[in-house]
Amino acid sequence: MEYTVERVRELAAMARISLADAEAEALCCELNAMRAIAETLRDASDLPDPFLGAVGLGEMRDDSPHVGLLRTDVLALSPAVAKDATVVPRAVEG
Amino acid sequence: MMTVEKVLFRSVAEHAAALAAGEYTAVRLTRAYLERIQERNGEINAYLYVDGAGALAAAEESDVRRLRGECRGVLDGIPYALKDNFAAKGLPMTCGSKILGGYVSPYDATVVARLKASGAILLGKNNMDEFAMGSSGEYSAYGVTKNPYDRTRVVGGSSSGSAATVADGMAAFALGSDTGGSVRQPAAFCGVYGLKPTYGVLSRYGLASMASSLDCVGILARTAEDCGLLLDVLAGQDAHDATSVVYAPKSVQALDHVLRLGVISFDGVGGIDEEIKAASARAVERLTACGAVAETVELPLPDEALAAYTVLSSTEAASNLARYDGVRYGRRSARSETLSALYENSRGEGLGAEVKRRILFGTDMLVRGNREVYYLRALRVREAVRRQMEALSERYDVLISPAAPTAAFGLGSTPSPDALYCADMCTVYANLAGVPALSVPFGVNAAGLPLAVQLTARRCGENLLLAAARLLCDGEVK
Amino acid sequence: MRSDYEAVIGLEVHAELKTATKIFCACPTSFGAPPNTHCCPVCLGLPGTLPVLNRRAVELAVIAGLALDCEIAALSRTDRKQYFYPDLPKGYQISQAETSICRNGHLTVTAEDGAARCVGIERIHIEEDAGKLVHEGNETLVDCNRCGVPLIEIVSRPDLRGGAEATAYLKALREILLACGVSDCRMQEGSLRCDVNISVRRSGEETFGVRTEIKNINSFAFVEKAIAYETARQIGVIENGGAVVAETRRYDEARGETVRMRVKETAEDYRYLAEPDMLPIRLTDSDIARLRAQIPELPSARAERLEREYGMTAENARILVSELGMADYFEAGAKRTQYPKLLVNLLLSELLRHCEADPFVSPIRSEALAELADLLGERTVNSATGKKLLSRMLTEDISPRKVAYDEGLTQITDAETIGAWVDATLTELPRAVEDYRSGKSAAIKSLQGRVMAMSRGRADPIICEQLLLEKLKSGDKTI
Repeated sequence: MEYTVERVRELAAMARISLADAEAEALCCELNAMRAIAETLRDASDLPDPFLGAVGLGEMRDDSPHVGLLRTDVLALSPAVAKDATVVPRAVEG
Repeated sequence: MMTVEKVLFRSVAEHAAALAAGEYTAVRLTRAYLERIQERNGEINAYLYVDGAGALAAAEESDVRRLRGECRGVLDGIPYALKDNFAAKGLPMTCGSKILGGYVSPYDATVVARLKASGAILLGKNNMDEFAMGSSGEYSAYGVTKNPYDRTRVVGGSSSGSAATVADGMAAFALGSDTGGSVRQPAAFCGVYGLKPTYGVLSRYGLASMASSLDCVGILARTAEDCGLLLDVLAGQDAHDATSVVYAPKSVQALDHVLRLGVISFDGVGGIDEEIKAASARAVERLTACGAVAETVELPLPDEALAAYTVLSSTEAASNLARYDGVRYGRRSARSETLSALYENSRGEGLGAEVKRRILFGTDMLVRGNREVYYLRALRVREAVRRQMEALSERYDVLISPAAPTAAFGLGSTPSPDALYCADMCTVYANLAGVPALSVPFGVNAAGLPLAVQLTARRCGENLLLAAARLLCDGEVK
Repeated sequence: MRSDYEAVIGLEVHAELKTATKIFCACPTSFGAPPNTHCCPVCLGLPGTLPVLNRRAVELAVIAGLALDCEIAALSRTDRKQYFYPDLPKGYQISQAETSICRNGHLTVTAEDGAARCVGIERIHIEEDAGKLVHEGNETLVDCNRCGVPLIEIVSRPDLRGGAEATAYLKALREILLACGVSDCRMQEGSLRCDVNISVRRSGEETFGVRTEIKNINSFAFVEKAIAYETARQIGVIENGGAVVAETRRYDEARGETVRMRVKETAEDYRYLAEPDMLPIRLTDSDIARLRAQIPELPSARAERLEREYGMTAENARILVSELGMADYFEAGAKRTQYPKLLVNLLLSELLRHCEADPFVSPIRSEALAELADLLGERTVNSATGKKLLSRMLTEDISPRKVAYDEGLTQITDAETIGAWVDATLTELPRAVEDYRSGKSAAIKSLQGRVMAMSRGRADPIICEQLLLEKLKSGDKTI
């Protein structure tokens, strides 16, 4: 399956990245190359369950507000601030 | 009488001894490095930010401690640099990207806090390929980093500035990050030691994640001994990083048995320069002359491993970079009339081409239909690779291979697909399997460019790497 | 609803867990702080930060699962649910997709109309909450305080068949979570949220119709209304030859209608990634046993026991368990009185309206109320005096028995004394006497009133009435 400009733009929309036409076109080739490398996985078989380890209750974090708390000045970092909050254009309910 | 320049190229251990002997003060040393940076950085572009005032203040405190007999240890008073994807409180953190232009970290990474506690002096932040994606030093939004040995050549990446810093005497050591070779390859191109420890041994808290299950904090230094020294100070489980592991740090030790050496075969793989092959062969000879027993081994599942690496690194990276959206911090696009525009333009304008490519691929690999075929299989292949590497490490103490298929290539030249494939083959296995690997400088080529070999060991086998590196013992940066 | 159709309903309930800190960082979870003050690098998703799981959040999820008869997974994992929205700092929500801490539970509920329903619980998983958005004009303000607050999501099987059942299910769920200390369950504060998945089909059919999802319902009452509206709407669409569209709707309180939010043509692809920054969660048999021991008597079991042990009505028992603290208060008092039935009545009829709700807090100590119940049961005071005493007890910490004796409020039961007042009353109110004797039996009330007044409220009203009737009948006017 080859990447088309259409598909590239769909992916860019999913990833919230704007692309110029030239960028979208160039990406088709580049993504095809990456896909070619990944294709080997399609035929891979007889594989073990992924090993991920595990953590028990004893090793988890205590529910204490004094351990590791580091309050951060959110507003100092924000690009746009109003009424003690970060401001963005109106979000459509979703 | 040693010239200032020679002093700048001393190892951490040598500096520590000199400071203890009163040969110079931390302030004197720090000033010398700051002057060196001022002199060299314009050409090399290794540093994006230098904190002269902060460094000198810390150096003064170090000297006061020493006078009071309260020296904190071997790192007290030693100047170092950080790759710009590490959080250092109060300092800018760009990750080599425009989208974090202006962002100042309000907290310290754990490794940075540990270095602070040890008395080490932070000089500044190093340039890097954007968001650790790239292997040449040409992918930063803030300009190319050049190889100190030959400024028409790349320094390697993504820890480009950090490698150049150590190679060019602009700090005593530096921290970088290694997801698929990003510490080891630039170390190889620059003639310094580059250690990627066992996954989880150095806390990732405060290291901007690229591919979480592959990322490691890495050490760039002038000697193997320095790597061990730094590992001792920095290793240890961190409550802020759930993937960090308990590690009882061991310094370089003598092996208690004959070194069993696995020589990774790249027969039939194009893309490796003859001079690299020759250097590897010489390294094997050196080790066998020291009593090691060598056998040829094959890397397990080569095509599948690379496929798994490509899929896992891009899916995790796409996910980890979703937070860079201009909403809460960093650079927001001026064209943000609607929420969609804010997201798409901030990211479209703020992220480079290489980053976009990997994000889009990583996005595609997780969509319905692809997720089962590529991502879930990649997880399993990774486990298969891990198990096979573990089996190899039971038969061999150390695996040896090239660290990179060529010496540093020319700026603006694109390596051949063979060379790119080969480069990944050299380095990604250590990340996939979570095992430690060390890039060891080993001579120079006819053009005077550094050559290197790579040693790989089993999980928590850093002491084996450092012992073998000692045996190789050739390649100390002049 | 037309009887040839049935509604098929499943509920997704989110409950904020009652932990001190957030699920992945040590920020406080308390409600109502000034915006953006309970935030740290981790919950803000600053570069380099990593999540660290809160043990108590996992424990509360297990406890909720055990209370709902679920199987607890020995091994479960977290996953990233990826989407972009300004209340989601990392661009993904850490949740559980393929696995969950609990699954295959059930909750049996009885609707108001008496119908009993065993509702299957598909799964319970942990996840992090998003921040809060406030829309103002053409801007949205982002408050990150709530980012990272721990949630459990309880997903029911589509076993519910109507709004009444659904509300019963929610009430029962809320009671259980409250009793177990899992959540505060305050819909008005957002610590309990409910989304409804609903479709219709002809009665008897086994295949499912197309379902819609209704979000943003802010009270149990609205859940019922939304279900009623949506059921009718879907039937209407089908009857008119159309097809129900799979979509997300929200409940508009003002209009009492569900309104389309967005169409789910292709259900959103969340591109789930196995969370690489945390290890899977392992739960052992001994973990589960230890947590099971933390579960108190559950509300329905407690209601049955209260009914049995104290001889109260099922309805009263249910009221006592419906609010955290009320049943405890009652039982503490019941231990100290011989008249538990009177205690229940005092509590529910007289005291309850003066108490704080959620949680239940009484201005009167349970021992004091018990004492009052005794006084009434013994007939040491009459009910009028009882009410007066209770009134005073609302603001003063008095012993009603002591006050009754000290202030001479005790009931007078001596027939001679009361007889004298009766005689006096009959003399003073001849017209009332005439009225009564001529058939207006209601006239006895004013006679009683006079006797009570003479006794300053202390006469035993029953004896008073008895003596009045005797003397009126006998026609004996003792002057």
